[in-house]
Amino acid sequence: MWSRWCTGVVFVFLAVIAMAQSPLVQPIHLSFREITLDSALVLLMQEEGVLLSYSSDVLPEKGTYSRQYLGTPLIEVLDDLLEGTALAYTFIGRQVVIFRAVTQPKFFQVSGIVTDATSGERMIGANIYDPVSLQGTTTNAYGFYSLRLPEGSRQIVYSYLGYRAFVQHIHLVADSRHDVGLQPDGQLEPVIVSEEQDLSQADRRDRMQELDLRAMQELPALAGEPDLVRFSSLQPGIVTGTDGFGGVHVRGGNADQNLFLLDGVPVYSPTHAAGMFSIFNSQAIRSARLYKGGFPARYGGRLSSVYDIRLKEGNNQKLQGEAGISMIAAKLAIEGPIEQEASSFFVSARRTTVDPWLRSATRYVQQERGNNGFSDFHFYDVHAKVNFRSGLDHRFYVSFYHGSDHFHDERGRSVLFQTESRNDHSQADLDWGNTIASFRWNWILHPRWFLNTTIFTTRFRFSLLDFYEFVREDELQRQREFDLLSFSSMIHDTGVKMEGEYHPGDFHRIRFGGGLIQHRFQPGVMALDENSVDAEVFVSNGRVRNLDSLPVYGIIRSLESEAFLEDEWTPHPHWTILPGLYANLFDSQGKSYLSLQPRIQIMWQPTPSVSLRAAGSRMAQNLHLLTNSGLGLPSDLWVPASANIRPLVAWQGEAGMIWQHPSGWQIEGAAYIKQMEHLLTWRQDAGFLVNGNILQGGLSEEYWENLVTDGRGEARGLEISVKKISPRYSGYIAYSLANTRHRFPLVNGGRPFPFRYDRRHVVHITQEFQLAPPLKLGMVWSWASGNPITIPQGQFDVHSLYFISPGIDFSERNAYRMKDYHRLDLTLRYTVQQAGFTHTLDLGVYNVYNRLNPQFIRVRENIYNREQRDLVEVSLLPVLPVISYQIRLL
Amino acid sequence: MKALTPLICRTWFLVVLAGLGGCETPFLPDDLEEKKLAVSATMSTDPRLPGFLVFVSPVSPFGGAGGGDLIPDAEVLLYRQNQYIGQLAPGLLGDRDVYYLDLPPDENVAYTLRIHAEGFPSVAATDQMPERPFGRIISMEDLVKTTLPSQAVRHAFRLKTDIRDVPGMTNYFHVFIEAWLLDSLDNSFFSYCTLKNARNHDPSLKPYLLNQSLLVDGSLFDGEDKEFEWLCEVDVPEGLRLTEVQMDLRHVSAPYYFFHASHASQLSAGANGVTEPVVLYSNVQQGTGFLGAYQSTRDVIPVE
Repeated sequence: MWSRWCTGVVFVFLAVIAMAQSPLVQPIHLSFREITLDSALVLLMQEEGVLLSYSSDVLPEKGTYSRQYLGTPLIEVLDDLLEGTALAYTFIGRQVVIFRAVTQPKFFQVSGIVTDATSGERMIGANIYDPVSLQGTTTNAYGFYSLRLPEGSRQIVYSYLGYRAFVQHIHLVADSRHDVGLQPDGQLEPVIVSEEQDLSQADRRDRMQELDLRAMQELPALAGEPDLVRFSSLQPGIVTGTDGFGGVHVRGGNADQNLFLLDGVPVYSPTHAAGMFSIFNSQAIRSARLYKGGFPARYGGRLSSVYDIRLKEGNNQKLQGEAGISMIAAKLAIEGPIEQEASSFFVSARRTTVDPWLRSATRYVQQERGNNGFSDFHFYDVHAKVNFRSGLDHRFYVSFYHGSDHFHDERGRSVLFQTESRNDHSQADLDWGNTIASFRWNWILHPRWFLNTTIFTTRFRFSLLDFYEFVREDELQRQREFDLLSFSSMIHDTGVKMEGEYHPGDFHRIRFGGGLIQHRFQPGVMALDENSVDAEVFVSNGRVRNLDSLPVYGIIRSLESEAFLEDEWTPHPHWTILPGLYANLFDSQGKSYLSLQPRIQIMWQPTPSVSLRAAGSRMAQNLHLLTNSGLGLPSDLWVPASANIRPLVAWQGEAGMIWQHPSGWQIEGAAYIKQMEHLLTWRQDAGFLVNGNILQGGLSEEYWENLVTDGRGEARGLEISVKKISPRYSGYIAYSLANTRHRFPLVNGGRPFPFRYDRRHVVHITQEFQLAPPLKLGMVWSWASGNPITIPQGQFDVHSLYFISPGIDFSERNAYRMKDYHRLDLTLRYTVQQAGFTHTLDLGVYNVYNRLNPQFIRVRENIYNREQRDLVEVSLLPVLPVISYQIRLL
Repeated sequence: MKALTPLICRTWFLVVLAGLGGCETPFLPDDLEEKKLAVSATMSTDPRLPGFLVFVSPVSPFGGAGGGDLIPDAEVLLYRQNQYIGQLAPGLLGDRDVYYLDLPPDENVAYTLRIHAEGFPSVAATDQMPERPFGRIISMEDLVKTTLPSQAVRHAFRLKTDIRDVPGMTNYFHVFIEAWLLDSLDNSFFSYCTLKNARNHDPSLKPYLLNQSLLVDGSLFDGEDKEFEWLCEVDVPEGLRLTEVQMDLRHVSAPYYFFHASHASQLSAGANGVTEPVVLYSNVQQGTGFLGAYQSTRDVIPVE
């Protein structure tokens, strides 16, 4: 009896234990072969009585299982079956619930090159965007992109202005390379931002800086020659002298404070014809970016702006050509493959065509004025580029540019005045130009790493010969006076630099790099008159000779090294932060200057249509341009910082916003303030030539440093622009309000005065109308406050014991203003495609209502009575026709 | 079409001419500054001159024939270290109205002129006399005489001179080379030599008034004895003979130097509206011009 009761107790006890036992440890006896996971779980329920709850949808579709479990605890069975899947399980009561696990996804790098599918040209600033993860990026200056995305099925959108968007579907399970070619959309009209196109911060920022080359080609242009720098001056915050003379002045900066980069190589004198045209042939430009503020750390060396211009590489798929002629120049461009899709070339050349007209016209004008003589001017430039690749990861480029300007003027007059004959003769020859050569190597060494190495040389040289002779003769005596000025300057840089990109993931894009540049300066000035001891060596019988025996001046060498680090950090899809640091060490004439230049830019996109930004930059410049003219003549002299002349320094802060609406409206506004230190100008009592003294060896002996003085400047401004784009119309209005003042202790009595190019108000209006195809009408109207100017306001006699000589009393520095500038240009464009060619004809008018905008003010003297003088405003460009024709091989 | 072609050609040519010829329109600013006085004043220990010599004239509107006439009835007052000394007397130098005071100024003492003229804002200028300079003629060489068509005799020669610069301070000088001539009656005259090498090679030299004299910036050879070689030229009229050459070496004050240096630059650069203007230095408050001081040393070399 007792044994039966104990057995029963034990049995109940075991049953209770069994009932209370966790199902995790329930032993499983099960065997199966090559069945799916779903079938295995069904067997587990049916055979072993395990209560399972799950949805078949979460189970992997593929894969078979073969197992034999001999008393294996259920927990181990479940771990075994669910291993390698994204599934987890838990117990609710006695039921096992199987569900999809929330795990941290893996990220992989998608990288590659984006090109134009029809030409193979690498696309700069193309947008790559994942609309699901909201991650995006843009291609760099070499067409490379790298984007970190979560694993799995992804849809990546590649887009670029003027091209059809391309959507690539990929299943991302590892780092992968995707090179994409985009097809042009075949339309010439600007692209409208649509609701579907949610612009990323990167795309919005890049569009701000990208100059619209299509608009540059289609808007009215001086002499029918589209020009990048002139076109850029339609942006708020950028002014030029009248009609381009005097260089480009960005946010109150001088013309030497703009960094022009041609395929990454600095250009010292980027203009032809004293600023009327730039050296950048519009046929040769692939892209152009302009930074007026918020400078990325990879740029340094100038204070006020960066023009980053990239040339075409050449169509690597088929031969193409383009030729054109305008009122000022003829040009030709040819590009094509060397090896299909592997290497290509591009060559363009341009030369003025006005020489014969100019000589004839000026000879006629001189004759009408009673003179003999003529003027002559021409310029030309050549761009050439070859590129070739080695495998998928290496590409090499060789680039070359050479351009030159030449101006010649001679005139003479002979008059008989009573019994006296008077003969005067003058001659001027100016030659200037740039030569640039570079070798570049792009290397994609990893999906996250990109490197570019450049070796380059850039040289600017200028020479001037200015000669005047006056002979007065009668029966009794002969009086001869002459002045001869010979001026030459050269600046020559040789350097190497490396730039890299690293995409570490976690929403960073790191850029880094460094470089070494050797500068060589060689200036020289000589001035003689009839009293100079060397006079007869260089001037006889009214002609200049023996110029090759002029003294050769010593070369001044400087060494500059630089390094930068910048990050593009996107901690949130609506925020982008770009911190950076640019460091520069400059050695010249025994003096070193180390400059650390921090940069920061923050962008916030609170809504898809609004973007706000704030930026701060410190910039420094080791080279000064000593100018003695308001025309931006190439006679301006580049000099390095030295022991007594410090580098220029500027701090700039800005804040801005962009609002874009899908209907095509865009409003952009910005405010800035810029403080500049160590500005350089000639001392008020010093002329450029020091009254004829030679600057022989001046730079090395630092004599010139006694003639200049150091000061500071402040620029403030407000910029607003409104743009409207629709399929048949685009319009743009830009307004800027600016105030720039300088102060030099030794100039103007130490009192502040307006900057020479301080145009208080500037307005630009551009309109493009697509008339009945193939006609398009373009219009540009510009208005600007007059430039400040110093004028002679009085005259008096300077008396000494034996002499009386004239003195001029000038006004306060830049106390007066020339007339306001305004001008209207119209162009009608006719485009037709025929027999494989595209023909484009532009007809228009520059300065429609013949506004006589003054270039400068000069003192006009009566040749027979030099004491009678008055001030006149000189205008050079009245109403002019615009005619140009282009033919392009499709 | 045939008839039209010549018309198009002519029209085109005229358009190009209009573009190339340029257009000039008078610039007439509305608000030129008010009246202003111009002062040319020196104080010196030159025995040939009064200690203080002042010319006063108005600044005339730009463009007319020369400066305005000298003002004969201004009130010119002299102060020594802000203590009133007296009023300069009006007089004539040739036919020029001038104000003078026969009082040799003391070295390193500040003198102030205050000038009042009816219809003009009053002006004031201050300067002080520098120390006596040290300089000498070392030699005269390579004298070449050439008879000109006018029968005058051109004398060209090299003159070596020495200027001592006092160390520790910035010194400025003004050098004149005088050719002394005698006529048949032993009346003496002098003429300034033209200094032919003035524009060559030495940045410390600045020629003044058609190379008739030279301004010298002593800061470029501070504390040194610097030797200069002048290439001189003088045309001696028929009937006169060159008997001696004198160097008038002036140690000038900074305002004297800066005014004359800026004046020399301005005369050279002109006012063309393209180049930045050379503004005259001035130490005349509320006016323009200068008050400058100098002391002279003379050295003589006879002409063989």
